[in-house]
Amino acid sequence: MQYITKRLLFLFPVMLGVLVVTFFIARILPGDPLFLMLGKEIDQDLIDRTRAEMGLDKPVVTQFYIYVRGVLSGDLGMAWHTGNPVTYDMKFRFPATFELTTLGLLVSVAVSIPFGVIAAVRRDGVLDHMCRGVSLVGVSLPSFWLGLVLIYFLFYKLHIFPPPLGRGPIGFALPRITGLYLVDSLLTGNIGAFFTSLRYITLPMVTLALVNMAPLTRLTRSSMIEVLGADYVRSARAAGISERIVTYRLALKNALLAPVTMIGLMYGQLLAGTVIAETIFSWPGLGLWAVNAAASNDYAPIQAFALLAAVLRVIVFLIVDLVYFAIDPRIRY
Amino acid sequence: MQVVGKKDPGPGGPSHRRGFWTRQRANLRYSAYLFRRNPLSVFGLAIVAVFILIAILAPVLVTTDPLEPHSGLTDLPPSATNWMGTDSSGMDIYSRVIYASRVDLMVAGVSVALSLVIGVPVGALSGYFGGVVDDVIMRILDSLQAFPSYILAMAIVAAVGQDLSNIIWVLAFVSFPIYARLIRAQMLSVKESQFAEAARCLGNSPLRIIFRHLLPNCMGPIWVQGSLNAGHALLLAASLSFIGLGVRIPTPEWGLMVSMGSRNVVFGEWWQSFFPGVAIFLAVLGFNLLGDGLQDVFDPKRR
Repeated sequence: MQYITKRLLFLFPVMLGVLVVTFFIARILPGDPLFLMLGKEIDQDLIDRTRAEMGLDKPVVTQFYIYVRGVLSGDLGMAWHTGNPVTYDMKFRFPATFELTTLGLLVSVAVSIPFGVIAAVRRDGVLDHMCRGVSLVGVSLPSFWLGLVLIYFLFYKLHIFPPPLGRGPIGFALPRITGLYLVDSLLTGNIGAFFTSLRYITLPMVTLALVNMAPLTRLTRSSMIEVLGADYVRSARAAGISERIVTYRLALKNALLAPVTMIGLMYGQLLAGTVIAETIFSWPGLGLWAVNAAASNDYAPIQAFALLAAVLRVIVFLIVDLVYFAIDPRIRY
Repeated sequence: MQVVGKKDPGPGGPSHRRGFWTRQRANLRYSAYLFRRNPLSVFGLAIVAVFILIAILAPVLVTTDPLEPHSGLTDLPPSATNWMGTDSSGMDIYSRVIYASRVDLMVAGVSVALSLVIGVPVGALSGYFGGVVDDVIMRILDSLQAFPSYILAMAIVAAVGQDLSNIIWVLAFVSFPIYARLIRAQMLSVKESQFAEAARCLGNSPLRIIFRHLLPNCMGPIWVQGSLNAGHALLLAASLSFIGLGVRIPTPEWGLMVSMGSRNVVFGEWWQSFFPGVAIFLAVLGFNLLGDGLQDVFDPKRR
């Protein structure tokens, strides 16, 4: 209990630090941000007025206070390139990103964990060597290049998947319930829309998943090998318990601790991965929104995106720590 | 250092009787042996070496000016004259891939060197002094590392503007916390050792103890991380250019070239993105294998 309280208290300095960082990044913009907003040919009067309106004439500490108050009340400024408030855009686009990242993570877990375990159990077998080779290559592949290769073969050559045009032409056909097309189409019983959106999400999802598969497979394998060499596994074998039960019931449970942590860390990183996947596939999520904002010198959305990424990551880390604490009796601080 | 160092027999066994350079050579030979045991590390070193050679010899290797557009020769597939085809403005992909190695290797190398220059002193001071200094520095590092490095880099580049030196500084800035943490952890254990105690008793100043006596004993893992991070920095830089936040068109840079070609992949023009992507992959693979090899040398547990 003491540990949990301590861990929660630890959250405050980090969150404060994150806010300071996002605040200062916006302040190091070269030149006066007002020129960016209003253009260069404006009279001094308008400049002074806007400056006072935005609180830019006040001391830095006061400005920081205003910024934090804005963030806490959900006011993150305007996204000029869409003409909407930042929070509105983020709410609207979050489901697309959430759908993509979550599915991407599920796929990489569903592939990596079994492969890692089998590679460890049949150490130095064919599959093990294959897994090691593939994961060595996998960590060095640029994901944006991989996405393009997938598009070339699976869309242009083989016509199996649709072109990289975002979520497909079904946005209008669906009522917006959760904003997740796969869920909404099932809720409304629209099987056609479900399969269409599944076809559209497959390539971006695979692009996102492939990047995480290599390190996760590697970690599962090494963790499993370590546990299989532990004394209690040897004792279990000596006691005559069948190899099947030793491996899949006794060893696996402990071997999965490390990968579980890593999955948490990856989920925190995924928002970075989606920036690229969304750019390649014109996926209308938060990443593409931030990239478009950067292209049109619109700073508030990027600032908000960075803030969201950091906050999500801090929360995910917290959950990982707490889960670890709950499932691993060896950890007692 | 010398007085204390002589008591340590080192991996070369009784070689401490011989001179300083003889010992250094013996150490180096032992390291080379450890490195060579894994053929993959040698392969990694070879890849990196070849890329550095390509970067140096670029003017000799190219077939045409990498920046010269040929209006009649746009979007051509690979052929005998344009080995990797041409892009949408008729520039020769092969020559551009060759020249891009200069930009990419420089960005990777310089940004890693810079992050070492920032990270190592910060981590050393934090670990050695502890207390309030340590607390403040660690909270700052926590806050920076709360951001995914790619997104932090995106946000800063968007703010400071995207010329080459800015990008290098930003890449250094987002990865220096890793080194600071590594050095700090090493420092915590090394500063309790007997030779540190001896150096303190002899009346050395803290800064001299840190930089002359302790740091040289902390650097092993840093070289490993540095090599792995060079690959990572290269990927980051290329990914930034891919979303338009890196160097500007028409600079030859692998990530930017993949991005320029990406719009044509749906029409089947694969070569514009394919070749620069392969170059990124090979360079990153080289740095990663090299880093793995260095780990065999510096990490006693893996011997």
